[in-house]
Amino acid sequence: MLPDLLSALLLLVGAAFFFAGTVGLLRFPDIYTRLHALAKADNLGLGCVLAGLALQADSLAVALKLLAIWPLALIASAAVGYSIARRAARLGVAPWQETQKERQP
Amino acid sequence: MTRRRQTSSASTIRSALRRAGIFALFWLMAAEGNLSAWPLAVAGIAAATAASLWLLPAKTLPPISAGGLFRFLVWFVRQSLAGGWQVARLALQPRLALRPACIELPLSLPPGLPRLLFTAALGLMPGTLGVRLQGDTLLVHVLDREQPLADDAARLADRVAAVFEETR
Amino acid sequence: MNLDIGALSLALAVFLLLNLGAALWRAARGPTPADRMLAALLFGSTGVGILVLLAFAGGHPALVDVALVLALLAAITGIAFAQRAWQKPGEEDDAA
Repeated sequence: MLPDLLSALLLLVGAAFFFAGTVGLLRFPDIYTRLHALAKADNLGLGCVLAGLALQADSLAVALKLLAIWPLALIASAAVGYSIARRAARLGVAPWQETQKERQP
Repeated sequence: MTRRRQTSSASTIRSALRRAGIFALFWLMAAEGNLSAWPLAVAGIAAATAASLWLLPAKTLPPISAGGLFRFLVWFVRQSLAGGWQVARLALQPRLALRPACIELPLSLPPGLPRLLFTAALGLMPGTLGVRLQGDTLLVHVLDREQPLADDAARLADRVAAVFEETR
Repeated sequence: MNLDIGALSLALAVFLLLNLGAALWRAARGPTPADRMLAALLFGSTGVGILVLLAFAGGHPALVDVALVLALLAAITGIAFAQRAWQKPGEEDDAA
């Protein structure tokens, strides 16, 4: 009963972080800030979902397999995130600033 | 890839055994402990070990401290939780409270794996994202230009340096 | 009280699919080519999340292996991307 409750909680919290990542992607003003939202919030969401499901696994091996997905996803996000940010900088995409008047020379 | 024929065979054998052990653990996990396909496993582990020694010879890898790596991972997981929490809050709160900026950060870590780990980890920590490396400076995009980037980066650099210290 | 984790997993898988749809729409709209590259990030996290949830929702444990392979491929793709972007000291910046 208790593992089920903890699982359900982790799954819901994970879904909430995925949702926050999507909202950030839709709301944030430029590619750099959207990258922050996706790379960080989605990974935390995935980590919670994986932990919640690992509690439900029939065997230790399945639980470990689920948990092994997380570092892979972190590596992917870190590497792809850096590559996209760098590509954007090379394309000359200027970072958004909150008031256009304050923009530095 | 640089090929170093003069690599001492003893250290190559040691790292081959170590890597084969790691691959064997991976296989055990993927096969859920089922040993019935062991010939396939032996072939796969041998192929993986050979490929890893060819692509990443023992000498090109700086020595890694197990304790340092463990402490780094524990600290990093906590940091990435904080990073996800912070950006989720920023995304969901009604007023968009972003004050982003790009800041140049001088790097103290040596080039290669330590810098790679630093840049990758920085992208998952609260409010920071590496954008471009030029020489010894990394351009970092921050969500809040008031955040103490230099302090956070120094702390991360210390943790990364501890991973590559020769203390086993 | 009886918690049905399978049903919850299915509901959350559908919820993540909606998230993925909205995010892909955003990525497709751009406006810059870099925005469209966000799709590569989305499948590594949201796609993997949907797969593991479906594995528990429908009782198809093999989907966990699919998720593991997808995550592995995402990591390799990411490293390959980053290696191209990784600048060695003294090298020209705009090589590609």
